[in-house]
Amino acid sequence: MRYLGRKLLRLVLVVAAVTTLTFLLVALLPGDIAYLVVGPTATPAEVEAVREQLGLDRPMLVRYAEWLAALAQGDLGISLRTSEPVGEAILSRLPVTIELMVLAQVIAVALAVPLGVLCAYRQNRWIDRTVTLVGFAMISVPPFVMALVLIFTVSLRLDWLPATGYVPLSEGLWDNLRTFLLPALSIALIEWVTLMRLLRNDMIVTLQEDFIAMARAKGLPAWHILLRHALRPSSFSLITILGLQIGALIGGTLIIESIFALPGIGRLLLTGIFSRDYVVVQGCILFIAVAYVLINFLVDLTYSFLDPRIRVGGGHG
Amino acid sequence: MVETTIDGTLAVGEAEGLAVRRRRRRLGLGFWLPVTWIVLLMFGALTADFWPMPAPETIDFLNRAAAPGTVGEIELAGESELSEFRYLLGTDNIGRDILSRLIHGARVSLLIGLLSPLIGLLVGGALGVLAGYYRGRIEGVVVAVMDIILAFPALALLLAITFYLGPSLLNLILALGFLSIPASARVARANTLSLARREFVLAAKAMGASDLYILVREIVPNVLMPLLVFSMLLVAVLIVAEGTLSFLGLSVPPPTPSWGTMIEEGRELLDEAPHITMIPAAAMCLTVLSFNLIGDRLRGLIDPRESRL
Repeated sequence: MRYLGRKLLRLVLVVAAVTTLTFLLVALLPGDIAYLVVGPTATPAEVEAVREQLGLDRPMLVRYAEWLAALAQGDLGISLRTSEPVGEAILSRLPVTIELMVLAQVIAVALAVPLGVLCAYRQNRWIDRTVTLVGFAMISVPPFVMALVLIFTVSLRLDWLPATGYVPLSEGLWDNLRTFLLPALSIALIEWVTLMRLLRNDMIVTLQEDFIAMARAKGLPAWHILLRHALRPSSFSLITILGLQIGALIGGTLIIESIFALPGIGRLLLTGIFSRDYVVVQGCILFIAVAYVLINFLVDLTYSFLDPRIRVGGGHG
Repeated sequence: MVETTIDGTLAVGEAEGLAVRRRRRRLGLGFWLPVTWIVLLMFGALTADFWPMPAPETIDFLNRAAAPGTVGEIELAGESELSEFRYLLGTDNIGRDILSRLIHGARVSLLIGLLSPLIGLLVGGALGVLAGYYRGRIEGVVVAVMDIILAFPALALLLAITFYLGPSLLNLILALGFLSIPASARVARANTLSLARREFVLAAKAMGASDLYILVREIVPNVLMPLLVFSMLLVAVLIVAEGTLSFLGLSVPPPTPSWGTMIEEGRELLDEAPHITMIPAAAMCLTVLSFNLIGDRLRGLIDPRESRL
């Protein structure tokens, strides 16, 4: 319970810091936001109107309090360009981003687990070295380059999958998945390397344990030992990283969404940036940051319930 | 890594064990090839203006999206007359020499990739060492602030910073440098924590050395190496980050060539002229891979347990 209390306190502090920072990013913006919003050709009257609409004529502390109060009711403000409530805009795009992240993780795990097991089993043989080398090369490919390479080969040359376009889930699962496959692959083909290395290294340690030698002595087939005996005790750090990566992926989906024209949160944020719609930018960044903090908190928590040692140890930090 | 320890312990004779150790210490092709590439790149970036090739902005209207090896007429940098020139890597979609843009574009990647980690190294390193050495309240504050910065997803924070400050080379270096502070601080703190308990530090303390002396003469020299190796891996991350931003058009503004921008510009002709995109993309991947390999190899040298990713 004390562990939970300490974690909760930290969560509250971090969320408070995140909200304040997001507010300050806009409040401390150099120059006049109203000018930025209306553009250089606006008349003074228009600038004044925008300034009033945004409440910029009032002191910062007052604006902060009002912003927080609205935030507490789930109100993230109204887009300056589309007049759409930012909170609703984010929620309507959330499923796309989540689907992309989940699909990417599933593919990454599907690649990482068999290859990790194989590499651990054939440690330092040619297959292990090849996979390691390929992994090293792939992890050095920036996600947007991976996306373009996939578009070039799979859509343009082979014509197997569409390069852009989004089909909602309501129009059929297969059509929907087809549009998500390449974006998810662009992330997964880089992500799997980290997972694979983790699993491989943990598995190598497990394979030296006595109960594995025992299983071998009993004459159990290799695949049985690997999958039924060794995999589970070796996958602990894999699962942790998997959770933590969900947080990191929120940032990573940004650029992938914009390349494949998927209407997710990342694209909302980028559109906001390009149209200088700072209410949208602020809302998206706040949402992404808070989601990131919350996910990491939950992962921490689940992990500590799975492994009681963590609750007792790891006092600081 | 396991291979060498196993080989090492299984080795029968003393001489054999020595040979294994020497093999482990040798850096090998996997280190020197990347180093060669980086050195070539730096040389190219530094001397880019003096090469007999067109300036990165010069346009050959007759040869748009020309394939590598095409010959055209264009004025070379510093000259006013047209002369015959072979576009070794082709031209981009409006007819600019890709090789020239690639070499000039390396400047942005290298400047950002090398200067930003330096900020992280200096500021983060100093904070981490102080936190790890003095512990107590200083450590609490430093760790808390770093945690908060790390609580933001890096790319979103980066976008926010460039959005609010506006894209310029200096702002980018500062923003990416700022983002590399927390990770460097963690590395420095973790290393300081273990160093501060070591005998040579205790000995210096027992001899009545001042904190400043211990920090400068005992701690910092020992923290520096792991920190430098970490920065090497950070360089790779930051080159990708800059590439992402310039791909989105949020990095250094247009006339200055940068690899991310070149990759983006080639997108509309990806089907007809893939070389416009793929050449800068390959250059970026090679550079990132090189820094990864160098960092990994160096890390293997200081801490054999941690090598390979």
